[in-house]
Amino acid sequence: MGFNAKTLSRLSQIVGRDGILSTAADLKVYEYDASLERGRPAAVVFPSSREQVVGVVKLAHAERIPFVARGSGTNLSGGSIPPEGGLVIEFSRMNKILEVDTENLTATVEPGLYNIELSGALAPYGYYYAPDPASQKVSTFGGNVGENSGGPHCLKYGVTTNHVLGLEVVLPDGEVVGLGGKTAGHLGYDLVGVFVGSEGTLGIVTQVVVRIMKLPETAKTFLAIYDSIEDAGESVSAIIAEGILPATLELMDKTVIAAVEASLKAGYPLDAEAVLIIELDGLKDSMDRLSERIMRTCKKHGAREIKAAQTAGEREALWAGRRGAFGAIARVAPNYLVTDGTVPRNRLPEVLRRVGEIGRKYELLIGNVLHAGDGNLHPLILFDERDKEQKRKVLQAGMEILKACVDVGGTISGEHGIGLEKISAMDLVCGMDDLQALRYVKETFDPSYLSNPQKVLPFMGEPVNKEGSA
Amino acid sequence: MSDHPSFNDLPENLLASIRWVQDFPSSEAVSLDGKSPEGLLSVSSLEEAADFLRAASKAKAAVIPRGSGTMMSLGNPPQGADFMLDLRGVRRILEYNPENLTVTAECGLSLSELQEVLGRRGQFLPLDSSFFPSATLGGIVACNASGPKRLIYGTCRDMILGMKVVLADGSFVSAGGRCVKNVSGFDLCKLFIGSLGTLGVIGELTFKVHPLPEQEVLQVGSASDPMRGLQLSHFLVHSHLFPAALEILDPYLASVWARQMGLPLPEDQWAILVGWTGFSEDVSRQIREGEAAFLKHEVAGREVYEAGAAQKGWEILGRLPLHPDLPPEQLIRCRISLPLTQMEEGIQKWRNEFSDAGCRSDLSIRAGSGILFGYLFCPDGNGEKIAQSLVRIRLWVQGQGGTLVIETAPLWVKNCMDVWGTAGKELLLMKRLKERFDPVHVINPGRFLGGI
Repeated sequence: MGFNAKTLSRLSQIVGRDGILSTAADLKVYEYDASLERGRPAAVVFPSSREQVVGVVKLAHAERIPFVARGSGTNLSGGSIPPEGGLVIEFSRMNKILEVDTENLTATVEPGLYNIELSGALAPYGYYYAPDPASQKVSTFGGNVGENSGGPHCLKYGVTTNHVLGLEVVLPDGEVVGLGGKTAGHLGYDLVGVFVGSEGTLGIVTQVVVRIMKLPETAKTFLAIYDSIEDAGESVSAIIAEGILPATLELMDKTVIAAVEASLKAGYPLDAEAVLIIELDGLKDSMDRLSERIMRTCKKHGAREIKAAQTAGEREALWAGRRGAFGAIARVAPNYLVTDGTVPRNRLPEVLRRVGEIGRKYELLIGNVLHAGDGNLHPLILFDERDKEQKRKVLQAGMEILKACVDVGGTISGEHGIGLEKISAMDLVCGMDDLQALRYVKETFDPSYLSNPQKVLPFMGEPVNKEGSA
Repeated sequence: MSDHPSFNDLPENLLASIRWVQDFPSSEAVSLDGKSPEGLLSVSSLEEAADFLRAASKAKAAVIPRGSGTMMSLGNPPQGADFMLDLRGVRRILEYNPENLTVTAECGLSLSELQEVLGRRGQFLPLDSSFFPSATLGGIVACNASGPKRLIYGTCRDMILGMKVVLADGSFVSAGGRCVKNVSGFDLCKLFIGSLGTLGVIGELTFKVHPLPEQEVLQVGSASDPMRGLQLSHFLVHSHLFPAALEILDPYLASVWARQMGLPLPEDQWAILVGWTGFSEDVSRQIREGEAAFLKHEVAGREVYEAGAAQKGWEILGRLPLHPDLPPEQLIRCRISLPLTQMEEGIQKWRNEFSDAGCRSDLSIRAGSGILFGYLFCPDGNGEKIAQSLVRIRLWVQGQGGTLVIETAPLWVKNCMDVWGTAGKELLLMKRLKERFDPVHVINPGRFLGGI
């Protein structure tokens, strides 16, 4: 449903005539994101300052219009879809690096900045921003904060929440608050901690202060090749259990290897059942001995061969293949459902087996890309959405994989978020009291349920509108 | 017997195990910031704690949860303290999965007991050894306590994967899980870390653990003024090296530390303690480059302690502020967080403010993490002047984007200012959270920021 002329005109006054889209043709583009969900907004606005965001949110609050903040829409759970229509607030015009403060090891950025652009700007000074989602070329800081994004290097360095020190937030009623900051101390409850990963349901981020790190002195990248995916999984568990903490431990199976080689030529062997990309980084002194240990462990657990990248070009090719894996899979099938279940690392081999069984049961082709060192699976269930019957099976298989993860003590999402897509799986990991506690948080920030509605929390009846004694 | 009728609803065994204050021998008198609880209850399971909290909520009684009590001085004076809930009996290890490097334990277990179990498998929880050995996991997390090695290992928020919390109404909330990554719902664990239990009693904790480092050393130097130490610290933090800890002690604290270590340290010198940890080749190189950095920054001495001796050095550091020769009830301990670039000015401000305050004033500096610990011993008399100085310093610190938390202080200090600081608009959100999680204000009422 569209907005009336008065609302549209007030929005144009706030963001300018060139800052709003409201024709059916324009809105069509904002119906979807990287997930399978769909929903059309009534208008899309492109604010270029915090003041404009405040103006838009205040208007939305006054008129009870739901709104969804959107970066590049790379999330894989329907997080940027507006299920109730309303406003999409798009952040491509707020994409500046506001400050690089190497002395305090921080940087301050706007939410529309692409993840990789910060590390690019820091490199000349010898610093970088550690979390590196595979979508980092286009995914934004606002989105990374909303989803608490991970990435290959999060095994050693932690996910987004471990690197965000402060936030400027526009609350769903239009009030602006500064949370956290550049120092080790913060006052009161850790609201930054609860905001990161809240999927835009608690308000809109307009500035992010992140921790930056020195570039490591050296890094060494290996490709370990396996004739069985379970062996690759065993190797991951063994490396973790041995107490070596590589910077990355990524696993790809045969289906993904074939797709990647066809499009990107990363140098993965086509006859392998699985490969691991292992990267060590840090000081050069221990590197040779740790490399030896890694190679020995992989060999012991069935690696056919293990190769070290000899040049920067070889290393880059190995990573380009991994980062391009989701895109490359489009060669095999027009659509995929990627699940994001996470399990204790020592349960990986059995869960990988289980994923294979589920694929066979539903007669679906499943490719596997894993942040294996974190126990985070990304089975890609391939299909063609024009085939309704197949899509139904895909959703069932996806749910069965999540159940398999929960059954071994895991969870339903490691880094992609709940969004719309996994709402119905929340009860696998949350009881009523747990959901109630999530609702306490939601209603603290957004008692009117306007900010990214229907995400994260399943509907639990009308809100308890309790504003507190304060 | 209690004048809270709802306690008659408590299960018999719990009611029977409350020790009422009039029956206490005077030697066991319990009080918190001048308030004496009516009764003390030690529970041995979370279910008992939940039953008790539910009854307390009904009776609108104030409950002060406690572990071994090593951080009880933290917080504003409670608005009420009807009961103290001792959780040291809730101390099982529920699951230890060395292959996944995770452990789940109950809140009353002490950190040292947990380390012993982990150590048998060559692992450890990288929360610092400088805590009191009896400090419990729940207490450490509720206070978000950290030590010198936070520089390399991070703090509670980087290690906690999951929690089970008992809310004031007796319900249980699970947050997070036992995997190293988890975004299934809001990250509630972050809310409870450092909450002083005001949103719920932290009952179970799942931590990410680490393999024990191959080697751990403590490199010691001294200098005539703290700026050399700050410059050294700046150099190391921005180099390729990974210092595990960077501590600077003022001459008095340095002399106490050195005496206990049996290290002859020249008079009137600041001590600089640098920690290195990791694989042996890396540690050897870092000691070498550390020595070169000492020379370059005119820091004298290069004593290197290894393994057990290094451990001892950190443990002594953790106990330092106790000042064995001064009465603990006169101690004011401030924790000042500042941007790294403001540390030098912060040190000067503190020293100028208290140089003629008529009391002992000391400083230790967590140089790599941007934290100053300021200690004052205030016998009597000049309280008003001290309080004014603290307010002035806090104003400046907050102006730099930092915080000044008074972690320990006599009641008269707590009565004249919020020990946590002055919050902005975000306090409203925090009050709303409290209102929802603990609407009757049962747990630790008034002890948190802004009277929460």
